[in-house]
Amino acid sequence: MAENKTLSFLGSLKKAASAQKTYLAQEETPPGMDVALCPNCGAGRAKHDGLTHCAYCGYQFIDTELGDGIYLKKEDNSPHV
Amino acid sequence: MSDPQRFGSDRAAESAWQEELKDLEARWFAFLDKLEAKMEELCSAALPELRALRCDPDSQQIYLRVLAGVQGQLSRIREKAYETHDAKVTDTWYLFRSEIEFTNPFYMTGNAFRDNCDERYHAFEEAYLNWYNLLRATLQDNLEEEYRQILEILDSARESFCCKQCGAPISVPPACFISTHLACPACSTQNTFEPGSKARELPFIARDLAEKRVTPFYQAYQQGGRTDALYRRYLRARYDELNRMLPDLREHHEMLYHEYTASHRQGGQDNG
Repeated sequence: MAENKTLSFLGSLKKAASAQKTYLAQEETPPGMDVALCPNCGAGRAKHDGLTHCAYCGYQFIDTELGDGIYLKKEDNSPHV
Repeated sequence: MSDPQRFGSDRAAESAWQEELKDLEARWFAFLDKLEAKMEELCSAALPELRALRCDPDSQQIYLRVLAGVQGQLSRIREKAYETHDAKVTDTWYLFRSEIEFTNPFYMTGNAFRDNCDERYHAFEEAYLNWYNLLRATLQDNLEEEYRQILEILDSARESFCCKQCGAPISVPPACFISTHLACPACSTQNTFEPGSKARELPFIARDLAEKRVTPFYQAYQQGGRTDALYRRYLRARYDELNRMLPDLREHHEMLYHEYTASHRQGGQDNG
């Protein structure tokens, strides 16, 4: 009797777990490659061109002057500035 | 002291207490026996179910929910034991203490009652912990398989991408489990490699997997008197394993290794 009760409890637990709706379900995403281009002229962005301005059309990506941080350094300012 | 009336009433109170303590102890033991039987029944039925769910790649969320449900039931049983211990054993002990002077030799009977009950309670807690760990251990059942899948995904991704700007092939470095900027070797455009949801799980399963792989070292440490040298050997094996899986985090792993070995040397602490 007790055994049946446990099994039925586990059964209903499993049933409830399968029926439960998953909020913010994340679909599995495959690996991929992406690139951020200049929104003004569509040119690619290379590290040595700096982060603040487009190397081709001079479009301003970031309105600030970078200082020396942990990952970003002064050298990451575009030479156009 | 020479009042025979008082002496008589003390004797009566003592024998009443003796009866009550004996009865309560027997009931407490029987109650915990029952709870232990319940835990065993619940967990021994749940473990095969959980293992089966864990090995089915489509039921991982169901597995986690069922695991949480069973753990909830288990901790409810533990709470019952805690509440009853509080309400019956501890309260009775305090009442006893308030009525019987500790200079009275009969006080020892109450002491023995409390010790016996607490010892039985500790045994129950051990049993609970044992079942809890067995349930948690099912989490590790599938780790090797998951790790294999992640490696497969990353391996197949390694040579299959091209620069989004110029189309030149870009090779992805091994064990790339977070979004990574990769410069195109032809046009230098920064491409962002996105490893996908499965590969992102790697750092979350790596520690458990590494611990599982070096279990023999941990057992040797536990059985060999928990010495410093054995602990260092276990930790070294664990972090070597982690370094192999997550080479990017080598610096971080070495820091943890030094921290844990130092704290073990100082206080004999054991960080898992």
